[in-house]
Amino acid sequence: MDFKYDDITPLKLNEAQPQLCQILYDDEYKTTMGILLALMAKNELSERALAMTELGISTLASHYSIWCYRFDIIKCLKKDLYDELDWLESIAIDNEKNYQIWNYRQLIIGQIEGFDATREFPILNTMILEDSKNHHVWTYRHWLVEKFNLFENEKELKFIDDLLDDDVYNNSAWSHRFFIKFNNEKVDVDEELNYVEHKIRISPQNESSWNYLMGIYEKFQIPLIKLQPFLNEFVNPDIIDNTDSEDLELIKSSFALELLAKTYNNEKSLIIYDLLIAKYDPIRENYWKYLKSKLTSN
Amino acid sequence: MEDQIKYLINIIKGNDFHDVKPPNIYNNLKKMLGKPLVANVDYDSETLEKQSEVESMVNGIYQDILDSHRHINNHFEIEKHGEFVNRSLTIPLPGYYKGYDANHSWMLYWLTNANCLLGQQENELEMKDLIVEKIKTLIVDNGKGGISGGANQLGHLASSYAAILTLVLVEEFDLLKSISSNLYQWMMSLKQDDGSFIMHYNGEADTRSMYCALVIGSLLNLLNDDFTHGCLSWVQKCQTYEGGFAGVPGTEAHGGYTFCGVACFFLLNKSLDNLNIDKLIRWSVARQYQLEGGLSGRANKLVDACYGFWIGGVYAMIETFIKAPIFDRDSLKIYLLNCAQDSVKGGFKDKPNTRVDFYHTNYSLLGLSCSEYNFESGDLLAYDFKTNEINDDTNVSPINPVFGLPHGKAEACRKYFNN
Ligand SMILES: [Zn+2]
Repeated sequence: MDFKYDDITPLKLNEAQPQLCQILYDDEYKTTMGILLALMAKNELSERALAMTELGISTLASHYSIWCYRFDIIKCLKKDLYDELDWLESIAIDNEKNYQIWNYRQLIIGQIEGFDATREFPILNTMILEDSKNHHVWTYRHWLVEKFNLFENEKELKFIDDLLDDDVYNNSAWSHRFFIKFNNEKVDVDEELNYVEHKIRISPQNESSWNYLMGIYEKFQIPLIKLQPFLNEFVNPDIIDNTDSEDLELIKSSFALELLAKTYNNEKSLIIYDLLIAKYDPIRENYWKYLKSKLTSN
Repeated sequence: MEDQIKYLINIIKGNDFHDVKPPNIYNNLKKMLGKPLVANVDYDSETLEKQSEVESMVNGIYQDILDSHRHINNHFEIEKHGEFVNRSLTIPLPGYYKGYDANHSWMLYWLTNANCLLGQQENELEMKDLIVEKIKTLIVDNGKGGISGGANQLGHLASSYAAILTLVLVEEFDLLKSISSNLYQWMMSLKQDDGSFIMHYNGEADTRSMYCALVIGSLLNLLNDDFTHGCLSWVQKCQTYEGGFAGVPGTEAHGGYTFCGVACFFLLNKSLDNLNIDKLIRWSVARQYQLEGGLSGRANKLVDACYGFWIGGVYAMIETFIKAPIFDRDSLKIYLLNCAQDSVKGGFKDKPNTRVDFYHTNYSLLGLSCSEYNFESGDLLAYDFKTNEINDDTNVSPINPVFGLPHGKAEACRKYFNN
């Protein structure tokens, strides 16, 4: 449908000169935004205004004012909200790094009664497979799980399992897993411990899986000392007594060594921190020195 | 050893003698290139592939420096950066910059701040009228609608934050005073029951919007009990199991949000005892990478120059609290100056294979400052910073890490609004 806008005087974009950071807008942009801003200024909630927001958003998706305006129009005209969600998907795929789309999607879904949240899985999965650490999409996914209580949804759990099977270094997936598993009272903590230990064995020098493990220990206040047998799989504890032994030198994980120091919490820890400084994690020299000073001042 | 001898011979030949001033980065580079004694495993994934691409690029740059035996010190192209910033401010920007059309106040902040960090104060004063004139076009209804990202757009907390910092940079306090009570009302209209603030009418609430609201409230002396109600407990909930802060409770720890989260404690004048400091430190120091020397924003993500400030600023704040150095300043500086600096056209970029932009230029300079000074703080957490040069190889001004402003600017604003 073609709409007429000839009764609207486009608002002028800032073309004052001299002006700092002046943008040399092209004519098309000036017309589109000029009409939009003029419609917005008189708060016209109409079909032609809606059409204009679509043009505006496809021109510049980060233009937050247009999104707010569009939401008001959609509500006022009682548009089909599912059509709106479908339209949004096409915009999302072209604007991966956009903040507004996902907030807007939340606003729309908030208007729908009896919304079936699993309707969101295809688009979310497409977006995440495209960019597996997209912060905006993950934040939206988090919102969805919380709002619609998807903590035990099989598809959701399977999706996370698959992502971590593909890439055990995907920290966004780990983070989402932590959120899902430990907001559910029925979680089997031992099963999760087995899971993460298995993932650590696959690739032991991985900050994400170790953080997950330590997160569980902290959350459930499990004494760290219980970890020692597991840690010894990655570091032969004899390196503490034979710091010059070349046979023992190569360890499998600096995170295991760091945790070993925590489990000892004595002079042996000081030796470990020195080893981390000298051989295993020299960039964090100041941090290891700080932990040493904390240990000796106690 | 052999390298060192070659290098000495080079110096004796007189090639680059004038370039040699302390501290020489040779030893530091050697340290960064030395591989930790941790075994490799047979595992392949997208994350590892991307990481190894960056590593080989950075490795190439550092190895070239060592092999050339020439630029064995960091070079800072202060004049080129100054020209880049001035050019960007004053020469109209080509059409494709319309992507920044909702970010006018951000552009002004990034560039004016960069100008100031480079020590070009006179320049700023010259531009002061133009800066104020432009920001006036962004103020919505005398501040009753906040400050927007572009003329005739809606007020937005982050745009307001950037605009206000810019006015603080040029010390235009009278204008701020004239809109401050309207801004207060506007921000209160964005406040939610849980203590957070939404970015704008129908917008999202996260640690950024909280930080922006608290910065504005603090600078303009608006922080009363109604305003700060629920802020502390809301921010506390954003610290994740990993130790950093997320945008909203329960999501992934992230460098930008961690900066905002930690700075909120300073703005609320609450000691870092109010968060899990051990976990915060552990996660933050893990953001520095052995080979690159630069910082990443999340676990298993790539190095990026802007985290030189988002995470570097967190280091600065942590150090005032624990009173000990916590990160490797020289290595961060090496990354920023050799991988992120454009020494030909001026400006800074995310990584060697990306393009210079205003955002990365500002945050690289702020990050550089974090690496060139150390920080102490007094009773009034956000305003009592003392900064000391680490050595005499200093290129940029000292900063106040809570605001991301050159030291002295936020302090002057506070003084104005407290009188
Ligand atoms: Zn960046």
